[in-house]
Amino acid sequence: MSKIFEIIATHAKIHPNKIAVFEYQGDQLSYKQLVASVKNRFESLQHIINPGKNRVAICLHEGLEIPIIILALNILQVPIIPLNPNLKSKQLENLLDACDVDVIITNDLTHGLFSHLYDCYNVIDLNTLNESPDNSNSNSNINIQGNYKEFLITLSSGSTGDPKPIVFSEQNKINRSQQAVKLFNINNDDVVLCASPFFHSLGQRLTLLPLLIGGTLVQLPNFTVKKWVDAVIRHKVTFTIPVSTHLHVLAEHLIRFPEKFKSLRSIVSSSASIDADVKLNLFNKLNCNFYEMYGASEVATATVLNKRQAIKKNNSVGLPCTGVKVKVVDQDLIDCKPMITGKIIVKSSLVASYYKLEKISKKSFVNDYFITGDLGYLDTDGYLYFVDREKDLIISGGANIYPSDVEFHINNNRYVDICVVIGIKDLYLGEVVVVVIVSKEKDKIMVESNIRSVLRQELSSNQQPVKYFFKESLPYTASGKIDRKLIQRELNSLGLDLTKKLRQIQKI
Amino acid sequence: MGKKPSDITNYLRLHFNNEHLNSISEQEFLNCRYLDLGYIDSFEIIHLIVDIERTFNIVIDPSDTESDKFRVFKGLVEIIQSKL
Repeated sequence: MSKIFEIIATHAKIHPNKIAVFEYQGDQLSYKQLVASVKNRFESLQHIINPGKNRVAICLHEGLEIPIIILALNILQVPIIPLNPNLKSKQLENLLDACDVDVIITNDLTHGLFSHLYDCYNVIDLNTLNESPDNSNSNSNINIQGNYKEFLITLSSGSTGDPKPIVFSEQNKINRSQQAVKLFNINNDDVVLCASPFFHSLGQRLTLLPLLIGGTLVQLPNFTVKKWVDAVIRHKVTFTIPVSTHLHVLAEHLIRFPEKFKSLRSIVSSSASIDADVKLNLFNKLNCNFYEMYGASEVATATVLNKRQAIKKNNSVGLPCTGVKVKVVDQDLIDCKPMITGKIIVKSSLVASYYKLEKISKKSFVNDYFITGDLGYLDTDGYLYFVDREKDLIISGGANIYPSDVEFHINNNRYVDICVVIGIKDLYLGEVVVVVIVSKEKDKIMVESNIRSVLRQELSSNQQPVKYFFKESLPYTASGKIDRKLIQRELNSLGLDLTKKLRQIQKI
Repeated sequence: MGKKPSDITNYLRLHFNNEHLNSISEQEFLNCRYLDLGYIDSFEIIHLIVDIERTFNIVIDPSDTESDKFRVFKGLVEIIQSKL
């Protein structure tokens, strides 16, 4: 039998009526109901999907169907490739091709995304799939034997923008859950909130973790602050890992109304380093444990900072976890001295591999260390400090500019809701720094003047944005991060020449 | 911001916020070839032009930036004043 389903089926035997999954709209499944639903799905699918042979993409909107279909496919021992159901056709085809998918499962054929794929793929619509009769006592064979190495494949875009399929075995996902259990003291009394989509590795982690430990999963599709707060209160959520952009907008609420969040035992910040002031406030004022973690899909959690460590090392992302080694190296992959910024590389016992990408694997790993694409430094006590994503780094006039350094000062301005600092192409300087601001204030001229005057005091001239753009909102990726690439593409397409006057002065 | 040359000079002193430039007389300041003497780097030139255009609601043209006047504070004051 498949290991992950076996673990969950065991929980169902021990506490059959315990709620396994709450869905935000109000639906729920006990462990007994979950296992019965999974077996039902397995019955329907086993005649269509060839165990050990097919490779199955799931394009599903969040809901109870996600854990059911994942576990049914787990019994069938086929690789599962969760994809964003809102992809454009070309993006979808690119990802299907990268993972050698031959079966697509969806519950939404209404938008025509799959209409041109019927010739090449077996497209299964869950809404029309025949339901099997109640088979909770069925004796159908769920002990499929085979060489089952690929449980889940997650697509990481990577710095080149090409899809990088990351393969997770069942054991790897189980080990990663065990790592979280140890790091954050999680047990089967925990109610875990998942506000990330399943096609994102954080969504997979938060979905599988509670089910593997016999706890309760609360699903929250389409994050908003109100929905998040409602879900925490209604289901007495004890543990969650918000992405940093979510945490940024939740922080004020969490700190101002602690009485609403009495059930929360631990919150973990992930995905990107959060603003130092916000972090300090959360460490000092939250009534529950607060952790910041640093990691990547390829290596799981690499470092964690807890409340006690944050007293002295608030700006750090913590110490390496058990079984993890972290180094900071220069361009030639030589170790940097403490406090010197370089590339962060991570060696982990929880490492996952890329699917069919030997060349990329070779480029992404050096001596078993994964090159994260992040920049940072270690202090003399071994604490890691995240500086920036290497790909977000702006190189202007030969100087390295870290967007987070600039964003820190602009986000601290009282007129600013949120901002993103990016580099746009420039013939003369390579890139120039610009900022896109969502302002709380209508008078944009005043806001810009105010920020410019502050930045003149705080930042060097090459760090200061040359051009200020004001928008009503920023675009976000499906996983909740600011979509820097999209903003950059849009601004580059404007063909601005922001150094023309400088060139005239310098007679270039 | 007023239109008097002394107001524009004060604006420039404030913008540069340089200890030496703040310590010299107005005449010495106006005659200072700030570009050639390295009081300002490439990025600061961009910020200076943007700030002048925003502060005085004027446009600095290529004919201005390519002229020798632009390289001296006195000339810069005249360029700004002529556009107000």
